[in-house]
Amino acid sequence: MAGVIGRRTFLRRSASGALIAAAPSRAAAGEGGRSPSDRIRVGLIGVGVRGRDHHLRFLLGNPRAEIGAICDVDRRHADLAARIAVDAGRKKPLIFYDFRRILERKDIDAVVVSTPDHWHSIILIQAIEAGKDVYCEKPLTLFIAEGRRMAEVARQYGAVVQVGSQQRSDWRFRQAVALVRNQRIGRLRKITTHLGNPGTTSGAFIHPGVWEPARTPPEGLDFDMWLGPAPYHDYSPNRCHFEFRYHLDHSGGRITDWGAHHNDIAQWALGADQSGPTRIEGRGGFNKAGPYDYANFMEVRYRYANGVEVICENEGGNGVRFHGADGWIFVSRLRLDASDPEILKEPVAAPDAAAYDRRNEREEIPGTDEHHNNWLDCIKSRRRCAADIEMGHRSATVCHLGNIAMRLGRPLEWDPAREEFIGDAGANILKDKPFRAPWRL
Amino acid sequence: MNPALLQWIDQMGDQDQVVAYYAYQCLLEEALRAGAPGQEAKQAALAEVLGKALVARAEPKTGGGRPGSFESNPFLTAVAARTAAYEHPAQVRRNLARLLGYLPHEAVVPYLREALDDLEARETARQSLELHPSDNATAALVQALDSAGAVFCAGVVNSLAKRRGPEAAAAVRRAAGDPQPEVRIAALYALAETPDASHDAILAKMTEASSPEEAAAAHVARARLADTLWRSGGRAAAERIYRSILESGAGEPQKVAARLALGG
Repeated sequence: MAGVIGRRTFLRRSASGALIAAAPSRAAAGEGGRSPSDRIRVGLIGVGVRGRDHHLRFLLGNPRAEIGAICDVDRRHADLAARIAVDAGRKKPLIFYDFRRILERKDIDAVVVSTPDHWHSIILIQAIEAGKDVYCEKPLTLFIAEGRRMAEVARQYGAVVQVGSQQRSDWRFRQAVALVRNQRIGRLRKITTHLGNPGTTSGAFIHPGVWEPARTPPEGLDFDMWLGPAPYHDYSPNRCHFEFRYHLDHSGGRITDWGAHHNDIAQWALGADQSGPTRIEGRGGFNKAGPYDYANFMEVRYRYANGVEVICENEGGNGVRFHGADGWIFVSRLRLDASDPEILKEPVAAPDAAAYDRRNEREEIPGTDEHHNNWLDCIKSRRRCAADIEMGHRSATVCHLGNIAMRLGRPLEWDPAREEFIGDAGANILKDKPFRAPWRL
Repeated sequence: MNPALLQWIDQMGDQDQVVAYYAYQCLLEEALRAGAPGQEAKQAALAEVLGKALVARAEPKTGGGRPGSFESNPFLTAVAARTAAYEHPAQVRRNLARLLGYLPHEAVVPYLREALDDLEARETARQSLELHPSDNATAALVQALDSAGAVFCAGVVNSLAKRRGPEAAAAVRRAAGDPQPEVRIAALYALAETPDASHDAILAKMTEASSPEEAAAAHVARARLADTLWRSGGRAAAERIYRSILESGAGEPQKVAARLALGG
């Protein structure tokens, strides 16, 4: 039964199972006078498509949360989000266009950061230093070096941080991970993470973008604040809002978008939430005609210390396939399959059952069916979330390592303990991205 | 050396976005590949090409000009020589400064240092120097602290915050007394990055600043310094700062952090 982790060992190792030290409950202490039974007052920072259609709508429907404030550098987004809140019968939230104004509010307990990636670290750290708990969209980071700092600050302040890799709270993925870690397909040999378009077998969705001339930003958009710490660029619509994902100054492309989900599941299954791969090799297709500069074709091979290989690619649909000595399991947001369907028929008490018990080698996979509720639970209990910040940092690092390997086109050795490349100064430069002045972590 | 390098440098200034972008991507690929271990000679050669283009000046206009004209005024032409007469447009120079940042070779530093005097490219040059760990890069950044421009100097302090060593620390301590508040605040946070317990005296004093923003920043920076010391093994010094934070006018979050660290 080599490789199977017992419950006690798992809990000892698992950050998810940990109480955040003896954290004095900021939520319960009532910085703003809130009692533990009251609603958690949330500020939304960044209310574009994701902030509005996902976070705002979910939290509006959740009786445990109250939308206290909304912030966006695009006034149209902020005002629209506030209107949605009012139309839903909620109290009109405060509206800001600078996230620092939300952080000054003592009547806001927690914030959701749903901005472009280049803003995540600054806002998250300042929010924690202002006493807020944080839900931060994935990928947690834009580059590797900032993630360590974010995790350190979260621990120093005892902050509850949920990273938006919500597959950690999805029963299919949790069950798949439990099955794999309990060796239901035998010894794990390989994992393939497929980042193509859901419901297809190709990565055809990935496109190079369309050039547009630089122009004056639309009324209501503070583009200099939108750029923030990112390198200066003239405004054009193909850089802003959703399309930021395809510019490496603002995000990491497909591999940090879907990779932050599926590579995160691979990390979970490998028990590598505090670690990562040791060798990376990548092939990426970069469209030199622009305007998108991310890899629109990718195949990255990661080798972990236990010998398991993870292959990340944009072909083969969308999901995660685990290859074991005795079979395979495939999991996506739509389905959970196995080479032997009987594996999946094993009795489980409920879809959210945290335990998988067939071989009497019980291993608990902590989690919940709902990522926001898990966050709200943890704000009350001061426990670590299903997608805690260290996991988010490590999973994002896997994606960044892939981008760096594709960019450099040479095999890289990675020391996950020291979080640096071995013997490659050129690669180590790419761990960091300087901020445009005056912004700093 | 790739014979297309000079052509790509010129093409980065092309009016056609696709051409300019393509040229930058080609140069980026060159720089990233040259950064591989064992490629020091290639790195130095590429640094020479990119660096020379970064600081290249256009031919100065000479020969007088009509009395009273711009060209005839030696003071104006001297100013123009410093601010405008580069061979390549600003966007190209910024790209070149950025590309130099990907080369892990000392040869890039003199060019980036010179570019710190280029008002349109100096911010990018500063960022590229930030990525270079050498003493010469540190010296260039220290020197840049004397430049004009509060935002730029705040950026220089941010870069120095990532350095270790007495030269950077001394420069940051000096910046803590800068007349510009943006620079002083940057210095507060930079002081917190060095595991030097003596920095707490400076930070504690700045918690009494008349500016609420600076005072608040100083309280946060003290907690950062305590954590820096804690992580570098200076636990006793960190605990002293945390106890002091508990008795200070720091915000509740910093007191929560102090109580957590002190096990209270």
